[in-house]
Amino acid sequence: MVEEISDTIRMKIKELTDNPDEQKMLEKLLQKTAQYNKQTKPTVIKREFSLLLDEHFPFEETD
Amino acid sequence: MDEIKIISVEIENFRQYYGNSKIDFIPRDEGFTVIFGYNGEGKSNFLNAVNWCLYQYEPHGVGDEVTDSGHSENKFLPIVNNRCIAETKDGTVATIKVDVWLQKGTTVYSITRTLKILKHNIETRKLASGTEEPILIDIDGIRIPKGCEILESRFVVSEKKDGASDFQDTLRFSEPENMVKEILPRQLSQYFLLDGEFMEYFWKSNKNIREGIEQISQLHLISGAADHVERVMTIPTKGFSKDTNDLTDKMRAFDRIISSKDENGVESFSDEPMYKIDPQESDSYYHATGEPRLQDIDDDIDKVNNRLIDISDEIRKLNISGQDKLKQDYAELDTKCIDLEKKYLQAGDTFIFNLIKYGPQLMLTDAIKDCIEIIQKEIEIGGLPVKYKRLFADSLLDSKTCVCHESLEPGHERTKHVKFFKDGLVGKEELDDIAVLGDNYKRFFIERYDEFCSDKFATPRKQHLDLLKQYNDNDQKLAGIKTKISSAGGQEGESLIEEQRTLQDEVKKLNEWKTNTIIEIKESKKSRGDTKRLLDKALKNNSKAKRVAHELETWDRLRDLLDDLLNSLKDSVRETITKNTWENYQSLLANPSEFKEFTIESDYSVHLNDKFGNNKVRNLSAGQSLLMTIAFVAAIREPTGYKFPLIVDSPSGKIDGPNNHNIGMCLPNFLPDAQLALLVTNKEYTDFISPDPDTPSLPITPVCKLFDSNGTCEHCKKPFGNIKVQHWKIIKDGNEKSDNVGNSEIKSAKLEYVDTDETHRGWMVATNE
Repeated sequence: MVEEISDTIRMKIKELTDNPDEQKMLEKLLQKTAQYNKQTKPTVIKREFSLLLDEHFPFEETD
Repeated sequence: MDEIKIISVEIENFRQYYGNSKIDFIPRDEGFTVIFGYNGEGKSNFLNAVNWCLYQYEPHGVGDEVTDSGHSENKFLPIVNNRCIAETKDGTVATIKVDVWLQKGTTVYSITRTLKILKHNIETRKLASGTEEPILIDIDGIRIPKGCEILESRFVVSEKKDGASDFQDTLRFSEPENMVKEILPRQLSQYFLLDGEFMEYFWKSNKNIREGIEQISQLHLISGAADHVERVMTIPTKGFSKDTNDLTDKMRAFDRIISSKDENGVESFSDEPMYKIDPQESDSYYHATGEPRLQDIDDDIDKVNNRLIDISDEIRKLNISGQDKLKQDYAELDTKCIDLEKKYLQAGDTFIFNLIKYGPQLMLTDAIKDCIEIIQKEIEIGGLPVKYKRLFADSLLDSKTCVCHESLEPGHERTKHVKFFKDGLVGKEELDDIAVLGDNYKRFFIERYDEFCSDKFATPRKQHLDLLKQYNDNDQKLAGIKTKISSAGGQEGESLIEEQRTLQDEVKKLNEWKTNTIIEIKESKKSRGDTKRLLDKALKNNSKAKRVAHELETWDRLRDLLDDLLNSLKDSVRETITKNTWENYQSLLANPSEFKEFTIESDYSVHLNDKFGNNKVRNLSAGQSLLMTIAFVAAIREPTGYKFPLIVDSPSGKIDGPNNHNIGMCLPNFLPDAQLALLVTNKEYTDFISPDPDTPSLPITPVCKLFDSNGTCEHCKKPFGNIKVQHWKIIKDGNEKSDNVGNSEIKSAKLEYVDTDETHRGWMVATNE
């Protein structure tokens, strides 16, 4: 279970970008952030955010 | 977001609550839940019980504070009910349990915190009154009687989803603490489980406003996510080229300045200690640089400003406000007294001098009169003055003729006689002085005796006494002013004024630091941005770094989106909350507000200006603060979409009659979709509202009847009531020995009208038994 992002924020995200990957990515970044606290190590954040990036914006060699 | 409802709270042996008490809450569409209790019976500890269950934290009265009534607070109570522990046999276990049932959407959560305490031989101490009380000790922040031990501490969150037949332990999905954090984070709970004390001091700190707006509207998640992306994701790994490695190092160095961290990622602090209200507090230090330092400075400015407000209050209470005028009066009078003292001493000296000089003269008045008489006779017979006698002899000798017309030729016998007479006068001139003296005594003393006595004695004596009296009068006045200054604060007042001056300097210094830190952050961010642009370019040109360049580009885009999201929401949420708070506040007031303008600035500083443009937000009375906080809490629910029940402890505890009436009128229509539970005293709920001399037409109908009757108020012409209320009553046993220990239970109750006699006529909340 993750913290629910408010409808106000969801709506605003949709206003800001039409790209569904960007929309999902932003929501997931907020949900992940809700789970972190001051003690969370940057390496954990880096690993988890990188996995999200790979999921939504994978690197292709042709890029 | 799914609405959260509170279904029930069950309390067992927690602080004042003996045995098991369970309260069911009704949803908002069915009405309000009212928990009625007299002062000291456990209303605030009910709120503490809910907080303890959810967060193992009690917001009310667990520190050193003492209530206005001087009532002893939880500091002096163990967490386990005293009667329960007394009845528990040595070697057996007492159980403290609070169980909160919540519903979020269609899922029901049971959140249970249990503490099992094994009782041994409890150690006591004898009080001056002769009674014995248990010694309390803290174990892991839990206060229990000395001689007991905590056997078990359990925290369980179980859930029952829609359609499920039974509750399921959630442990396999998440830690129970995380579950609660997801339902209602602790930092937000203070905006929903409203403690009277919190409401009273709410506006004294910008932190409450910032947290309330940012956290409830989840702006902190957006800024947090943007920060993580900026700090963690937009710095590439090293190893592509020397140039890119150097640029990466440079970026990291700027990041360390912005986030106040050292090369190992450890928080970096300066050696400048932060402000402490209590000197006993352990020292904490400002972060060395960047945003954490800015936050520290802001927190300190807040703390120092609050202390300055407290000092002003203390000074007002000590009546030092006119101290400067008193001091000026004192100085003027002191100078006058010094001058008068000099004059009365001089007049005293003159009088004493005269007394010494002329006193004997008075005593010799008769002798002087005799002397004058003798002298007078001497003059009459020509014996005096001697000077005239000598002149007479000289004239005879010069004319060579005697008085008898005989010749006074040289060598003549007669001439010898005259010369002899003249020579005999030598040395007798002093007798002339006696003649003059006698004449003076006669003219200035004997003939003007009264005047003489007045000039030499009465007048100087009177002058001396008059000046002495003036001095004494002024000295008394001086002593009076001194007393006033002393009673207007005295040494305590002096030290308060000194502290005030020091803190004003401190705020000035902190503001300078703030400006410098803001400049430092801006410059570091600009340099970091410049470096990053160079790095991006370098990485794009590096064939080995294509993947990293792609990631950086994506993170940059995401960070920009997060920034846009934050900026677009931040202002709109703040402006909506500002507008709604002001509207709500005005609707809660019985009479037009003395304030004319309310704004929350982008830095969350609050301005509540009176008609003269003075910001009064930090000088609100307890009642004004309560109303403003209720207005704010109602306002933050709307734009944020957070729907959690409100449990309000003493909503009108410190509110005057007209506003109490207005709250009773407004509350049924206020927060129409919020589940509402009120913890109230008789004064707030069942007592007739105090008549107000300024509004004699104000009905004195108690709030309980404003809720459950139906009609239109003749005074304010507004409809009221028509709200169902589910009553609960906190019952404290009548055992005198349990006084201040508390053996309270909560029972289902109803509103009843009693009419025993003239002094016992009115509404009361009575248990259903």
